[in-house]
Amino acid sequence: MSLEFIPLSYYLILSAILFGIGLAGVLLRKNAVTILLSVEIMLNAANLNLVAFSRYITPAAASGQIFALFVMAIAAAEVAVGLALVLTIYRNVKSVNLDEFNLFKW
Amino acid sequence: MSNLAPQAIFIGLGVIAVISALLVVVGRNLFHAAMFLGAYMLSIAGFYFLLDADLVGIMQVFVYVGGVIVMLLFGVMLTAQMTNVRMVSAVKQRGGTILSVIVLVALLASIFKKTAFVISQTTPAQNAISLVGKLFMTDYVLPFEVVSVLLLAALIGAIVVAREEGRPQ
Repeated sequence: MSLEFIPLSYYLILSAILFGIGLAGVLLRKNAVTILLSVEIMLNAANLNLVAFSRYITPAAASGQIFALFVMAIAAAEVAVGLALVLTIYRNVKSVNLDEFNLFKW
Repeated sequence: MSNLAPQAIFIGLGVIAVISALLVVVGRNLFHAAMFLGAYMLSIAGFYFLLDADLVGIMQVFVYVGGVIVMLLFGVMLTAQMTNVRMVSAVKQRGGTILSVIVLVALLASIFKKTAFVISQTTPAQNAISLVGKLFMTDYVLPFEVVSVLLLAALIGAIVVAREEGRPQ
């Protein structure tokens, strides 16, 4: 329905912009939870790419949708383990500032 | 439906997605950031529906908005001090980082503009949900089982990691 009105490149550019926002969040912020949220933004931008390619290039196969669903499952596992790690570190260090998580560094 | 409706929906959802993603990244309050992440994920689900990927859109709402956001909010709010953490962000290479991210996005956008994609004109499968379900149980059955084992391992691992140590079981 919407195929001829919205070119594929619109979706790709939009997801590139969203991926860039998430990447800037990962690189610039020092709060561990905000970095987890930014990783979720990046994963969703990649998912949007997959589904857009699936719709425009191989509409009958639905393989891009399956990959998006797999990415979703991995992201759920990632955020569960990541949040558990952040909470444990917070309990020990009393901080969510990544600059203070340098126990393994030196 | 008029011809402009899909474009209007696309632009509206895109504006919501970009603004809420920016607010997640620049926000100073974790609770608000998690809420804006929910708005972002709902707008991405809208894109999935626009792309005729009904199942992915529904799962986006279920898994992300219903699961991940709620878990993040629980994690943030149950640790009382974390809600009020003043988040200072003073990365030294801030200007260079922003510049390189902008250059990356511009490079990607120019590549997407120049590439000629082979757009298929076939209509998408009418009952995509049953098609995806059949593919999960036939062609993709091994990755499907591996993901289920991974989810179980992540569940147990998250409980083990987050449990307070030293308490008698």
